[in-house]
Amino acid sequence: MKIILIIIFILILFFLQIGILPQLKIFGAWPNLILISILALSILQGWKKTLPWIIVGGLFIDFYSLDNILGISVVALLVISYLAYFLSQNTFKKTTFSSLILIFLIAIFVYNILLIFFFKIFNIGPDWSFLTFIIGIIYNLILALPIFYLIKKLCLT
Amino acid sequence: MRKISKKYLIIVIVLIVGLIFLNFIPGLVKKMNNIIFKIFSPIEKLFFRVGDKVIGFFEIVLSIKDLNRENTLLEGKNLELETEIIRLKEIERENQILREGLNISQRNQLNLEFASVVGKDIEGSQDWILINKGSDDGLKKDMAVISKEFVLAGKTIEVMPDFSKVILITNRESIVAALIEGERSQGLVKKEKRGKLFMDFIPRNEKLEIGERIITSGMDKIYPEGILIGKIETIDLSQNQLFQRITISPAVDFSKLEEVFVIRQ
Repeated sequence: MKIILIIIFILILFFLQIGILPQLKIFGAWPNLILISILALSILQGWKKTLPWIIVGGLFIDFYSLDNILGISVVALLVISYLAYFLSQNTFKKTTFSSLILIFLIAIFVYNILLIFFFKIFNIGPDWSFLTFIIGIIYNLILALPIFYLIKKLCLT
Repeated sequence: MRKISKKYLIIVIVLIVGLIFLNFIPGLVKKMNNIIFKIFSPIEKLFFRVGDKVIGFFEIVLSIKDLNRENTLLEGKNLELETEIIRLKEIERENQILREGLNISQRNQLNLEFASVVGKDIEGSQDWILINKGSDDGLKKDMAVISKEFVLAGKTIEVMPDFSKVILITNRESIVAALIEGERSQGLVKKEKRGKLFMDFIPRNEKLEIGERIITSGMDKIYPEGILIGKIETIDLSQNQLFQRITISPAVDFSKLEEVFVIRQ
């Protein structure tokens, strides 16, 4: 039951991501629901159990990118999934509001840095601006906690 | 700190190496992409349409301060009904566009292929789209794509059997050979910041006016001659003593592109 609910939830997130969220663009940035939900799952159930979602979510992002280099998003998601899990288990052991915000902030920041790094290496991807980068992080942070608690509820159902 | 077990380390390494390996098999990623798009594009298109309606709905609500609750409910109801009849409207609209396209095609002696936008960039600057026509429909790489109003949208960059990726003229890789309609001065139109375009190295002695139309020149052998690109928005004379630079406002709203025509050479 739990796994079916999570599958349905993730599928809805996928379609919201590709269908609706690009229209909610602010200064070129919009939320990445796949990233947020993978971070939430990593904090709640560990990076190992999140691995299938990292592969599916990462490949989904890679297939829907212009240059189609498979693996870029999977690797980036894998790194931040482990990072979020590590921080939640070691540095911020208590799941408080501020600790969650910090974990999401660090992980989203690292994810964006990794993507910029890969884009520069392969000379692909969109043009990045500092403003878009910062707004993107804030935008994702605003949605991170509601999604975290929603997934938490689904995981405990 | 807990160590990563050997088993998971092997899984991760195999996964990464496997994915890197897949990128080197010629045509495989393209085939996989085609399958993925085939499965998801109908649902994705539906989400696009619903998204448009939802955004439009919120725009109305936000723009009218004294909208009463009854009106909101009626709008909501209307939204639901509109979603229900999307399919019927789509068919009607496609017919209309095809009729228009046929007229354009006859008028300009162009071989046009009608296509629907079924996907958009989800992580970048929204400067490419996915259309539901591919090599099985006779499409090839570097074919010009225009809107239903006969305005330049972009060109095909990757063609799969049933789908094609189209980079818009606002993409950083896009270069269009163009000319200013009045003065006939030629140049290259490239991406400027914030969804605008620019053209530079225009001789300073050319007298340009804001609002003048920029059209394709056909010199690049990709975009046929005479397709509208946009209008001059600003003229910058400060570049140097010999040339001037203009920014161009594209004539098409790329965020609202739903149907396009591909020009088959």
